[in-house]
Amino acid sequence: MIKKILIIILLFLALSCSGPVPDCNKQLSSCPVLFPDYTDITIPCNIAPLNFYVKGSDRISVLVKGKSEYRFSSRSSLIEFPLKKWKKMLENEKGNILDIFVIAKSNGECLDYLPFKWTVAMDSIDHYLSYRLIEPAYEVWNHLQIYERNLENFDTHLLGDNDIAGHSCINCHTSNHGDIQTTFMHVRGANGGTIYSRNGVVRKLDMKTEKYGAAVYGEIEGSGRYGIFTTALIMPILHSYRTERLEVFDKKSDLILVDFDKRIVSSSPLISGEEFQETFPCFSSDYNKIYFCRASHLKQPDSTRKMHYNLYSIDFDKVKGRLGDKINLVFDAEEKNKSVSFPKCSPDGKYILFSVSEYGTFPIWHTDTDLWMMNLATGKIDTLNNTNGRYSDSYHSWSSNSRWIVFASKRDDRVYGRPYFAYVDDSGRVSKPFVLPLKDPESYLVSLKSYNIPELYNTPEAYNAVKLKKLYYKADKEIFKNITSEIK
Amino acid sequence: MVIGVTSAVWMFVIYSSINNRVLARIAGCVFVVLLYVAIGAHFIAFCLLVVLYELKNHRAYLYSVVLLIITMSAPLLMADYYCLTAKRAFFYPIIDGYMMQMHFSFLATEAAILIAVFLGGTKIKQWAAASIVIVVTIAGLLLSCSMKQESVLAAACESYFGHNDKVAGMQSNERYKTYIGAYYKNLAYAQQGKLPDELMNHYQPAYHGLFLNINENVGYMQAMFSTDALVECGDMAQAQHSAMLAMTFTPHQRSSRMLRKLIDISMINGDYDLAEKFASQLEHTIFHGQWARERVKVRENGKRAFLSQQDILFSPNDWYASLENLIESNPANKTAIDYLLCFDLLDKNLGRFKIDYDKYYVPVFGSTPAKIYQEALMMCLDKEESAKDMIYVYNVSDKVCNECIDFLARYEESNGNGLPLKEKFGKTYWFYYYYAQIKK
Repeated sequence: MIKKILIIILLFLALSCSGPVPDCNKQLSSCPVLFPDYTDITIPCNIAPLNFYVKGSDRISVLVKGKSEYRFSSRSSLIEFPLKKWKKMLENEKGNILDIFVIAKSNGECLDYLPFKWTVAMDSIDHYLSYRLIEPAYEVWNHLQIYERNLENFDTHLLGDNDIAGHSCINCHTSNHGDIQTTFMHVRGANGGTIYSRNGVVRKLDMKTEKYGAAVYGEIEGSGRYGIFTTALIMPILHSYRTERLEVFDKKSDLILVDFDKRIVSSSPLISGEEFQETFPCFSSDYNKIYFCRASHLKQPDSTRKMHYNLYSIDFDKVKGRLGDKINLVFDAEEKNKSVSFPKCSPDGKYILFSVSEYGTFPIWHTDTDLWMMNLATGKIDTLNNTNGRYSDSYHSWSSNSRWIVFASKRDDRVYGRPYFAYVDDSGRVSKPFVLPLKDPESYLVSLKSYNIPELYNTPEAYNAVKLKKLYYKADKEIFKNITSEIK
Repeated sequence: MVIGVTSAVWMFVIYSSINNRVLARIAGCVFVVLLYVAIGAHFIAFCLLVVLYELKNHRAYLYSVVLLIITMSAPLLMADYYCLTAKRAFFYPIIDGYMMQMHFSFLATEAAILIAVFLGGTKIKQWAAASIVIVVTIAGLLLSCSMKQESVLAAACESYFGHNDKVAGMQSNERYKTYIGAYYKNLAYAQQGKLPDELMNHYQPAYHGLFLNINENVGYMQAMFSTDALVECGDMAQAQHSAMLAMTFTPHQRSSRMLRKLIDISMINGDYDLAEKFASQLEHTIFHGQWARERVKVRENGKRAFLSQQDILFSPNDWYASLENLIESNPANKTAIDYLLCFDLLDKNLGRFKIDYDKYYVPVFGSTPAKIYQEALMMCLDKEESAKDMIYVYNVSDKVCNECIDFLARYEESNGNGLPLKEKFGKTYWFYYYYAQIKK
């Protein structure tokens, strides 16, 4: 009797196992339509499995051919690669080009698609990605969360949740890519401040300026001692045209230099004042320079369409914490009737990547926004035609080895941003991008949140949402001495 | 709530069936924590049942105190794990101001059900139990139900289902006098092409009944409702802004009604990828799936003709900028023109009315002005030298002229006292102009 039961159970298990789709003769002359589109891309050798759907299929069989062959199968339209097998495959195939053969069964029909390619780069990507999840509801927010995602698997870690931080805005989690990882994140609201994390020590800082209020966009230099930030009066306004949606402009803006050790906020007349508007500062890879965007001050919103920001630089003495005495034009965007925002230097110092729009300083709602990359040695601009999508591509970040970039792209539906990665090869060619892999990519479709400000880094953040809650409600703010008004 | 309380009661049944007292008490402590994890705030029902049971049958005072301490501590200890504030940890998943008007009514209802269960047995006890439930339910209803809000929701629902006749016929807003009630009545008339004709026939809270202002403080209901008039006029930019805002502030950021609106707006805008994205949210729902699948297939939409053709920058709630832009893009957009002129009239801005009337109404619809426009024109033309000729040019009827003369005579007679005028002229623009007080 027991034997019979065992045989039945074994038979049941054998029949219910997912097996490969049998070989089929219907050869198609096209690649499968995948969601997300992971066809013909370059991937990091340490990326999490690129699970995908084959639209309209009931069963899928995937054969990956490289140095060796790897078979995967699924009894649904979603292929989920087992993590262990996936990692082993990428490790074995580093530097190789893989051919991916997909056979799908759809409505009783067996379809054999043309193969597509995955190039496994020798270069790994940073282990972690932080991003903010926000409803793209124009100028206001309700529930905001900042997550840290381990890019080698699907683990996520909640860094901030405004549900337990007084419903304040939380934004701009940014890393310095330095030897000692230093990050900052702004938490607004009555008990908020800039959360500064360096070598495991987390502080809450009040860096408000008398003129415009708190620090906004910025970057911290490698040692973690100095930071450069925008401080601005930011105004949202609506477009009447059907798909343009929102315009955000700075009524006034300046740059401030922050000394985190001495707790001083300072500036220079070259990067502040009424005549020009300065924003989006970043350090060069050797920290001897600060790049920033600057435009002539015009009355807004009347002249918002005339606001064209150029890319400038100013020298920086990282030992004394002093700014240089002249500024240099790096890229004249106005000449091309364009506007530059959000410059970011590659850690190897070769390139500077920035967003380019028709006008203004808020690229995420401009559908025309693209990423452009400048070779800092030659000044040559690459418009990254292979990388940019049909809508806004912006808010990018470099990996520590300068071989990967991540950026928020709205290419899928114009409104909801998703993090896309692209490979930058030895000669500076940037590949076709691919979206952040999820365990179930359908989450992208059912989610009504935008992935905002993606940031790559290598060391896990020192705090989490619960610690942030304690910092928000219980920690005292460190008040910084503001000497911006003393500088003439 | 029903599932929560039912689970708690069933857990209590399991608890009470354990004969070994030591085992039962250990189970009680474990169950209370498990129930919190499973059903959230409703776990309190289990605790109260056990405490009452233990006190009645075993006089277990110490155990009851221990269980109450565990019950109070569980939300506090797990608040961080679930990323909740201490207060929300006690009430999760109940959402303040949405599922319950007041938290205490939730507690009172649960307590009443529990007492009823506990008292069940003899007939007298059953009567007592039933009475407690009835009293608490009635008290809860009286305390948390607002007839004013109900009348607003009724208007909004009827409008949602396209029952314009019903909305137009609703009398409740004359009693409750709400902005939203007036707004839906105006919208219903606008959809029938009768906005100016009916403007003075019902309660008007100045221009606040034409468009609903939205900002982060108005709540998601008003933001939801505000999209309707904007879509009607063709202002898809502001309509989408309002719908997104409403969606953002809806509990759990999910609203099928706003998704339907967003699909509609995206389809009108020709933003098909976005429409598909929203439609995919509704695809698996029972009541909206079919609608969503069919809506995204219909790519032609009459409302597209009303879209703004030129891009301007304007602040939310800047109705003038929005309407003027719409009309300049499409001079035949009568809904937008009527809204603009009625806005001027309800704001008592006759100077602006005359300019807008001449600029937008006369070239396309000037031959047949609505009665309220004729009444307003009489007041505008009164100041002009060639008033008589102008009355003819503007097609003001003899009837309106005579009524105006009659109104002015009686107004002078009554020395500005409105009461004698109300019966005959209460529904004229002249009466509104002289006697309605505008709250800016």
